[in-house]
Amino acid sequence: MSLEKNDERIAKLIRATHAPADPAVLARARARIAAMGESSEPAWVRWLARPAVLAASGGLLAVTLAAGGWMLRSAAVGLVETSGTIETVAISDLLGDDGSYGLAFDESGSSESTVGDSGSVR
Amino acid sequence: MTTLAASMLRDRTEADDVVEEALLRIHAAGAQFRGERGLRTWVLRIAANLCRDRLRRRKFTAPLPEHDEDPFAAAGLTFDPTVAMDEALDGQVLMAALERAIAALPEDQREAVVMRHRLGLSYTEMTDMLGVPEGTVKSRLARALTTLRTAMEEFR
Repeated sequence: MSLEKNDERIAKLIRATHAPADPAVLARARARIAAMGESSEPAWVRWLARPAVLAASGGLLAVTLAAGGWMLRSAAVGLVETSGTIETVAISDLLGDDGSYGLAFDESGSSESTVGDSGSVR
Repeated sequence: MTTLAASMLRDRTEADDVVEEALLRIHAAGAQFRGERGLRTWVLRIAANLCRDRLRRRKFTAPLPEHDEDPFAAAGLTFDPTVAMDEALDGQVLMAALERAIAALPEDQREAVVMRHRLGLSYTEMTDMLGVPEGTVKSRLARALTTLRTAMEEFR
Protein backbone atom coordinates (compact mmCIF):
# COMPACT_ATOMS: atom_id res chain seq x y z
CA MET A 1 0.00 0.00 0.00
CA SER A 2 1.42 3.42 -0.93
CA LEU A 3 2.01 6.06 1.73
CA GLU A 4 -0.75 8.26 0.37
CA LYS A 5 -3.23 5.40 0.27
CA ASN A 6 -2.30 4.36 3.78
CA ASP A 7 -2.81 7.92 5.05
CA GLU A 8 -6.18 8.05 3.31
CA ARG A 9 -7.15 4.79 4.95
CA ILE A 10 -6.13 6.07 8.38
CA ALA A 11 -8.03 9.32 7.77
CA LYS A 12 -11.11 7.36 6.75
CA LEU A 13 -10.95 5.27 9.92
CA ILE A 14 -10.46 8.34 12.09
CA ARG A 15 -13.47 9.98 10.43
CA ALA A 16 -15.65 6.93 11.14
CA THR A 17 -15.49 7.55 14.89
CA HIS A 18 -17.65 10.05 16.68
CA ALA A 19 -19.37 10.67 20.02
CA PRO A 20 -23.15 11.00 19.86
CA ALA A 21 -24.51 13.92 21.86
CA ASP A 22 -26.31 13.02 25.06
CA PRO A 23 -29.81 14.59 25.19
CA ALA A 24 -29.51 14.78 28.98
CA VAL A 25 -26.60 17.22 28.60
CA LEU A 26 -28.70 19.49 26.42
CA ALA A 27 -31.57 19.27 28.91
CA ARG A 28 -29.26 20.15 31.80
CA ALA A 29 -27.79 23.10 29.91
CA ARG A 30 -31.28 24.30 28.98
CA ALA A 31 -32.39 24.11 32.62
CA ARG A 32 -29.33 26.04 33.79
CA ILE A 33 -29.89 28.71 31.15
CA ALA A 34 -33.55 28.99 32.20
CA ALA A 35 -32.52 29.28 35.86
CA MET A 36 -30.07 32.05 34.96
CA GLY A 37 -32.84 33.89 33.13
CA GLU A 38 -35.12 33.71 36.17
CA SER A 39 -32.63 35.38 38.45
CA SER A 40 -32.90 38.75 36.75
CA GLU A 41 -32.04 40.82 39.83
CA PRO A 42 -28.79 42.82 39.78
CA ALA A 43 -25.51 41.06 40.43
CA TRP A 44 -24.92 42.87 43.75
CA VAL A 45 -28.27 41.65 45.07
CA ARG A 46 -27.37 38.10 44.10
CA TRP A 47 -23.98 38.60 45.80
CA LEU A 48 -25.66 39.80 48.96
CA ALA A 49 -28.02 36.86 48.91
CA ARG A 50 -25.18 34.36 48.99
CA PRO A 51 -25.24 32.14 52.10
CA ALA A 52 -21.77 33.21 53.21
CA VAL A 53 -22.64 36.90 53.02
CA LEU A 54 -25.96 36.34 54.76
CA ALA A 55 -24.28 34.38 57.57
CA ALA A 56 -21.60 37.06 57.98
CA SER A 57 -24.24 39.80 58.07
CA GLY A 58 -26.27 37.90 60.68
CA GLY A 59 -23.18 37.35 62.81
CA LEU A 60 -22.19 41.00 62.55
CA LEU A 61 -25.70 42.08 63.54
CA ALA A 62 -25.68 39.79 66.58
CA VAL A 63 -22.27 41.09 67.69
CA THR A 64 -23.38 44.70 67.20
CA LEU A 65 -26.58 44.15 69.21
CA ALA A 66 -24.68 42.42 72.02
CA ALA A 67 -22.04 45.16 72.12
CA GLY A 68 -24.71 47.87 72.02
CA GLY A 69 -26.67 46.27 74.88
CA TRP A 70 -23.55 45.89 76.97
CA MET A 71 -22.57 49.51 76.35
CA LEU A 72 -26.04 50.78 77.27
CA ARG A 73 -26.06 48.75 80.47
CA SER A 74 -22.59 49.99 81.43
CA ALA A 75 -23.57 53.57 80.71
CA ALA A 76 -26.73 53.32 82.85
CA VAL A 77 -24.86 51.83 85.82
CA GLY A 78 -22.11 54.44 85.50
CA LEU A 79 -24.67 57.23 85.41
CA VAL A 80 -26.34 56.05 88.62
CA GLU A 81 -23.00 55.72 90.41
CA THR A 82 -21.75 59.10 89.21
CA SER A 83 -24.94 60.95 90.10
CA GLY A 84 -24.96 59.43 93.58
CA THR A 85 -21.41 60.59 94.21
CA ILE A 86 -22.10 64.11 93.00
CA GLU A 87 -25.10 64.37 95.32
CA THR A 88 -23.08 63.15 98.30
CA VAL A 89 -20.24 65.54 97.66
CA ALA A 90 -22.55 68.49 97.19
CA ILE A 91 -24.40 67.95 100.47
CA SER A 92 -21.25 67.31 102.48
CA ASP A 93 -19.73 70.45 101.04
CA LEU A 94 -22.70 72.49 102.08
CA LEU A 95 -22.63 71.17 105.62
CA GLY A 96 -20.15 72.66 108.02
CA ASP A 97 -18.31 70.82 110.79
CA ASP A 98 -21.09 71.48 113.22
CA GLY A 99 -23.70 70.07 110.89
CA SER A 100 -25.09 73.46 109.91
CA TYR A 101 -24.99 74.96 106.47
CA GLY A 102 -21.99 77.09 107.27
CA LEU A 103 -23.91 79.76 109.19
CA ALA A 104 -22.97 80.51 112.78
CA PHE A 105 -25.65 79.48 115.23
CA ASP A 106 -26.46 82.26 117.66
CA GLU A 107 -27.24 80.68 121.04
CA SER A 108 -28.06 84.01 122.87
CA GLY A 109 -30.99 84.48 120.62
CA SER A 110 -29.96 88.15 120.08
CA SER A 111 -31.18 89.48 116.86
CA GLU A 112 -28.77 92.44 116.92
CA SER A 113 -26.14 92.20 114.37
CA THR A 114 -22.72 93.65 114.68
CA VAL A 115 -22.85 95.14 111.32
CA GLY A 116 -25.65 97.42 110.27
CA ASP A 117 -26.98 98.03 106.90
CA SER A 118 -25.32 101.39 106.85
CA GLY A 119 -21.92 99.81 107.39
CA SER A 120 -21.28 101.63 110.73
CA VAL A 121 -20.06 99.62 113.64
CA ARG A 122 -21.77 100.06 116.98
CA MET B 1 -18.54 19.45 20.35
CA THR B 2 -19.12 16.10 22.03
CA THR B 3 -16.87 14.31 19.56
CA LEU B 4 -14.10 16.86 20.09
CA ALA B 5 -14.38 16.75 23.89
CA ALA B 6 -14.59 12.95 24.04
CA SER B 7 -11.63 12.53 21.68
CA MET B 8 -9.51 14.99 23.62
CA LEU B 9 -10.42 14.09 27.19
CA ARG B 10 -10.99 10.33 26.71
CA ASP B 11 -13.59 10.46 29.46
CA ARG B 12 -17.26 10.66 28.56
CA THR B 13 -18.43 12.16 31.85
CA GLU B 14 -15.87 14.93 31.65
CA ALA B 15 -16.64 15.46 27.97
CA ASP B 16 -20.34 15.91 28.79
CA ASP B 17 -19.43 18.43 31.49
CA VAL B 18 -17.36 20.37 28.97
CA VAL B 19 -20.20 20.37 26.44
CA GLU B 20 -22.65 21.60 29.06
CA GLU B 21 -20.26 24.36 30.12
CA ALA B 22 -19.63 25.28 26.50
CA LEU B 23 -23.36 25.59 25.84
CA LEU B 24 -23.70 27.97 28.77
CA ARG B 25 -20.77 30.06 27.56
CA ILE B 26 -22.16 30.14 24.04
CA HIS B 27 -25.48 31.36 25.45
CA ALA B 28 -23.78 33.98 27.62
CA ALA B 29 -21.44 35.22 24.89
CA GLY B 30 -23.92 34.92 22.03
CA ALA B 31 -24.14 38.69 21.67
CA GLN B 32 -20.37 38.91 21.17
CA PHE B 33 -20.42 36.58 18.16
CA ARG B 34 -19.67 38.66 15.08
CA GLY B 35 -19.69 35.92 12.51
CA GLU B 36 -16.14 36.66 11.31
CA ARG B 37 -14.99 33.10 11.81
CA GLY B 38 -18.16 31.13 11.30
CA LEU B 39 -20.44 29.72 13.94
CA ARG B 40 -18.97 26.23 13.87
CA THR B 41 -15.41 27.46 14.39
CA TRP B 42 -16.50 29.77 17.21
CA VAL B 43 -18.45 27.04 18.98
CA LEU B 44 -15.68 24.48 18.62
CA ARG B 45 -13.10 26.98 19.80
CA ILE B 46 -15.01 27.46 23.06
CA ALA B 47 -15.18 23.68 23.54
CA ALA B 48 -11.49 23.26 22.63
CA ASN B 49 -10.44 25.91 25.16
CA LEU B 50 -12.45 24.18 27.88
CA CYS B 51 -10.85 20.84 26.97
CA ARG B 52 -7.38 22.41 27.18
CA ASP B 53 -8.22 23.82 30.62
CA ARG B 54 -9.32 20.39 31.80
CA LEU B 55 -6.22 18.70 30.45
CA ARG B 56 -3.99 21.33 32.08
CA ARG B 57 -5.76 20.80 35.39
CA ARG B 58 -5.47 17.04 35.00
CA LYS B 59 -1.68 17.34 35.12
CA PHE B 60 -2.00 18.35 38.76
CA THR B 61 -4.45 15.61 39.63
CA ALA B 62 -4.39 11.84 39.34
CA PRO B 63 -4.21 10.62 35.73
CA LEU B 64 -7.13 8.76 34.24
CA PRO B 65 -6.98 4.99 34.41
CA GLU B 66 -5.87 3.24 31.24
CA HIS B 67 -8.61 1.58 29.24
CA ASP B 68 -6.55 -0.72 27.10
CA GLU B 69 -9.36 -3.18 26.66
CA ASP B 70 -11.76 -0.83 24.95
CA PRO B 71 -10.56 2.69 24.20
CA PHE B 72 -14.02 3.59 22.93
CA ALA B 73 -16.00 2.75 26.05
CA ALA B 74 -14.46 5.23 28.48
CA ALA B 75 -14.30 8.02 25.90
CA GLY B 76 -17.90 7.41 24.92
CA LEU B 77 -16.98 7.13 21.26
CA THR B 78 -18.64 4.92 18.67
CA PHE B 79 -17.53 4.04 15.17
CA ASP B 80 -19.36 3.38 11.96
CA PRO B 81 -19.34 -0.44 11.70
CA THR B 82 -19.52 -0.39 7.89
CA VAL B 83 -16.09 1.24 7.74
CA ALA B 84 -14.59 -1.47 9.90
CA MET B 85 -16.29 -4.14 7.80
CA ASP B 86 -14.50 -2.83 4.71
CA GLU B 87 -11.23 -3.76 6.27
CA ALA B 88 -9.96 -7.28 5.82
CA LEU B 89 -8.89 -7.57 9.43
CA ASP B 90 -11.06 -7.63 12.48
CA GLY B 91 -12.67 -4.21 12.53
CA GLN B 92 -12.92 -3.92 16.28
CA VAL B 93 -9.23 -4.67 16.81
CA LEU B 94 -8.18 -2.29 14.07
CA MET B 95 -10.31 0.59 15.32
CA ALA B 96 -9.25 0.00 18.90
CA ALA B 97 -5.58 0.05 17.90
CA LEU B 98 -6.04 3.31 16.03
CA GLU B 99 -7.97 4.89 18.89
CA ARG B 100 -5.27 3.88 21.36
CA ALA B 101 -2.65 5.42 19.08
CA ILE B 102 -4.66 8.67 18.86
CA ALA B 103 -5.09 8.74 22.63
CA ALA B 104 -1.33 8.33 23.07
CA LEU B 105 -0.50 11.31 20.84
CA PRO B 106 0.76 14.52 22.43
CA GLU B 107 -2.08 16.93 23.19
CA ASP B 108 -1.41 19.37 20.34
CA GLN B 109 -1.06 16.60 17.74
CA ARG B 110 -4.18 14.82 18.98
CA GLU B 111 -6.09 18.09 18.75
CA ALA B 112 -4.90 18.61 15.17
CA VAL B 113 -5.79 15.06 14.10
CA VAL B 114 -9.24 15.20 15.67
CA MET B 115 -10.04 18.59 14.17
CA ARG B 116 -8.76 17.78 10.71
CA HIS B 117 -9.73 14.15 10.22
CA ARG B 118 -12.55 13.51 12.67
CA LEU B 119 -14.35 16.84 12.45
CA GLY B 120 -13.27 17.64 8.90
CA LEU B 121 -12.14 21.21 9.56
CA SER B 122 -10.20 23.11 6.91
CA TYR B 123 -6.68 24.44 7.54
CA THR B 124 -8.08 27.99 7.70
CA GLU B 125 -10.62 26.97 10.32
CA MET B 126 -7.91 25.19 12.28
CA THR B 127 -5.54 28.17 12.25
CA ASP B 128 -8.41 30.34 13.51
CA MET B 129 -9.28 27.89 16.23
CA LEU B 130 -5.79 27.05 17.39
CA GLY B 131 -4.32 30.51 16.92
CA VAL B 132 -1.20 29.15 15.22
CA PRO B 133 0.10 29.55 11.63
CA GLU B 134 -0.96 27.08 8.97
CA GLY B 135 2.58 25.69 8.78
CA THR B 136 2.42 24.73 12.45
CA VAL B 137 -0.92 23.01 11.94
CA LYS B 138 0.44 21.04 9.00
CA SER B 139 3.60 20.02 10.82
CA ARG B 140 1.59 18.83 13.83
CA LEU B 141 -0.61 16.80 11.52
CA ALA B 142 2.38 15.33 9.68
CA ARG B 143 4.05 14.28 12.93
CA ALA B 144 0.81 12.78 14.19
CA LEU B 145 0.25 10.84 10.98
CA THR B 146 3.77 9.45 11.12
CA THR B 147 3.09 8.12 14.61
CA LEU B 148 -0.28 6.70 13.59
CA ARG B 149 1.23 5.10 10.51
CA THR B 150 3.79 3.34 12.66
CA ALA B 151 1.13 2.22 15.12
CA MET B 152 -1.00 0.82 12.30
CA GLU B 153 1.91 -0.86 10.54
CA GLU B 154 0.89 -4.35 11.66
CA PHE B 155 -2.60 -3.92 10.21
CA ARG B 156 -1.49 -3.13 6.66
